[in-house]
Amino acid sequence: MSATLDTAPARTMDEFLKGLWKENPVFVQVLGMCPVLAVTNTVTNSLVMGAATTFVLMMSAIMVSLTRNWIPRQVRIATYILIIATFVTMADYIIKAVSLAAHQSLGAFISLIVVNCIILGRAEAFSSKHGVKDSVMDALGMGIGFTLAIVMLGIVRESMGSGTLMGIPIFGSRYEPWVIMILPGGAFFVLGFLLLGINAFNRRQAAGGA
Amino acid sequence: MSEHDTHTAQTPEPPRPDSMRMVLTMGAVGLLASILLVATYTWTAPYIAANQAAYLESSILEVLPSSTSRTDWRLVGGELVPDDGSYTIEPRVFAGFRDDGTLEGLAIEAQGQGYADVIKLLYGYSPDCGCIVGLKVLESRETPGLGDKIGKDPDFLSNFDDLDVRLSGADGSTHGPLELIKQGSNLDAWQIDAISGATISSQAVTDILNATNATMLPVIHGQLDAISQPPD
Repeated sequence: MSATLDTAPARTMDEFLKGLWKENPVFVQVLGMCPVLAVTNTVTNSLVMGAATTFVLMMSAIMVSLTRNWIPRQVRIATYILIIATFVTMADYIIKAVSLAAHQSLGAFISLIVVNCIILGRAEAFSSKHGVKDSVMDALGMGIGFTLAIVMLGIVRESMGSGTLMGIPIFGSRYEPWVIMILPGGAFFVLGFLLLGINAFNRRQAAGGA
Repeated sequence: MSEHDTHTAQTPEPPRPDSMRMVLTMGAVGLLASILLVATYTWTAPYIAANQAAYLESSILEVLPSSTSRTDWRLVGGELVPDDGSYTIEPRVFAGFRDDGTLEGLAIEAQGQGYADVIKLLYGYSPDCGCIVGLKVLESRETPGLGDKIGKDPDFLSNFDDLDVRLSGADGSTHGPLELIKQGSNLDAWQIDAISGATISSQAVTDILNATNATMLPVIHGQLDAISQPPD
């Protein structure tokens, strides 16, 4: 294996992997906190929100990357917002067509993906400067990283706050749910503890590696 | 940031692209966006309509469990008219019929302000006994874990299995509207036991039912003969 041949795929793979951990949009960049706090009260909500956000990230990355040499700098943000809003509306229709119940439990938060700064952030910081392949890998990594993070919150909050996982009871009937966990306050607690744990882990890794 | 800095360093005074090009770019992207949206809308519309119809069907079945066929009505200008699709926002009433063609009851759509946002309800009304026979929360944004129990708590929902709403004067009964009481054990037939911790949401449901009953029930009883006609 010669170095020149495998640098390109290795770099593309790095674009994908960085979103999962090293530059995780939730735990490291701490972006897109509105859906992270608002819709992680059940695992199902987290999964649907994660899938919708990944779809919008991917599609807008393709569009922004394809048009990057053609859009004047002065109107680029307006154009990105238009592109993102289009895919969010498409995601909204698709979720409604697949499951009305999922759409009802997420409510306005699907439309609010438009203002999720992860998406505009990746469009501006990455897709507008890179080719389609790299942009898609970057968007996919960020989307999956975001989904993993909010599903982690969803697992903790749903199991403690409702005593269920994806609607299935896991603790038996004597469990008294911690209502605070499915309220916004619980989201702040769980996110705080997860960030604490991840930063402590990363610091220990860095200290051990040095 | 460094990308931006190098860009400005290379071109100290970047040439302004003419406005026409910017307008054309925005126009082209807008056109593409609208094509994509129209395509998605056209593609998903039948699935969404089917989902909504199935949801409505199952909701009606929840409040009128023995119904096998139904007729749809809307309240237009103080009168119930058959829903032929020419009205969109007027409140709906569904008449549910048993297998033998007799009227089981009416499923009435109702809405009103809750604690967080508008609560939409569907409730079953039986003209025979003058009572509410079931309640289903179609849409609510009440506080998770507290107010949203109005749609989940079986104890609260069982209040609505048989709730006396006979009109004043009809067959000698003269009691007033539905009443919400807290932590009650000896409920009268028109009293609703509130959810502890969700009094405002419980009160909202009670108020919505009272307001809707006041407008709907006189109309329903006035047109009962027409409504009782089973579908062909």
